[in-house]
Amino acid sequence: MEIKVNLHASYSPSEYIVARKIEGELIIVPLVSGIGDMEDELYTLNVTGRAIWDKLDGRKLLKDVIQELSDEFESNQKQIEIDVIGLLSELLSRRMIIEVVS
Amino acid sequence: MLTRIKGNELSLNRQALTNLLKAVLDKGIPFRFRAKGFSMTPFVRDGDVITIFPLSGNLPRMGDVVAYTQLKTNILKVHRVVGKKGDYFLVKADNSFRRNCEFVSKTKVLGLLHKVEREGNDIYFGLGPERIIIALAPQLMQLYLHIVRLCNNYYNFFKRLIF
Repeated sequence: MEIKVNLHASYSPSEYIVARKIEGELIIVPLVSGIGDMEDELYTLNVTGRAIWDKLDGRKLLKDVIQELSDEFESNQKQIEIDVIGLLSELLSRRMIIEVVS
Repeated sequence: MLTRIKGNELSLNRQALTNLLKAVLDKGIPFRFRAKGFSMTPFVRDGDVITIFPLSGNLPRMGDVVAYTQLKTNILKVHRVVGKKGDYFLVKADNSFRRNCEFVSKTKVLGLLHKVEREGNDIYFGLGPERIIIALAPQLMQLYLHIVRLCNNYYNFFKRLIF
C-alpha cells in the first residue's frame, strides 16, 4: 500500500524511534518491533536527508519545507519536492515520522 | 537517503552508546547491542550480543547482571549484583578479584541483562538460579579456603600429638 505524502500537512519524528546526532551522523533506532536493535536495525540519513529531517518540526507545512530547502540549496524546487516526497514516503512506511494533525 | 546499517559498521564511543541505551530504555523498550570487553567472561564474552531490559519499577536481585553508569565517569558498565546496602547495589565484574567491587546507586542502574547471544545461539547460563552461586562465588571460595586452612591446622595439631 503506497503511503500518500500530503504537501499541506506538517510532519514530525514519531515516538517509535530514538534519533541522536553522534559524531556528525544522525542515527535512528526504530522501536516499532518492540526492541531497540543496535546490532541489526540502525538507520542513518545522508546530508540531504538530514537537511530534510531537521525541518520536520511538526509546525512547518511540507510545501514550506520544500521552499526553504530550495532556497538554501539553490536547487530546482521540483527536484527537491521529488526528494522530499521520496524520503517522507519511506519514513512514513517505517513509522519513523507522523503527520501532525493541527 | 535513508540507509540501513549494522551495529558493527558504526564506531560508537561509550558515551554515545550510553545515551542511546538510556533513550531506548526510558521508553520502556529493551535495547540490543554488542558487548565489548572481557570483564564478564565467561558468562558474557567480548563480541556477544546482549539485550538489556528496562527495570520497569523492579529492583535488581542478587546475582542479576545490570547495566549501569559509573558515578564519576558516567561510563556504561554491565556487571553482576553481589550485594545490597540500602539504596545501593554492590556490583562486580565476574572476571575480577573480589575487592574490585563498587557501590552503585539504584538511580544509576539502567536495566537488566536478559539475554546473551553467541554465534547465533541464545545463552542463558549465568542468568538463571545459578546466578546467585556465581555472585557468592568469591565468598564461597573464601569460606572454602578458610575450611581448608582449619582442617590443615587440626591435622598438623593431631599429627604432633600422636607422633
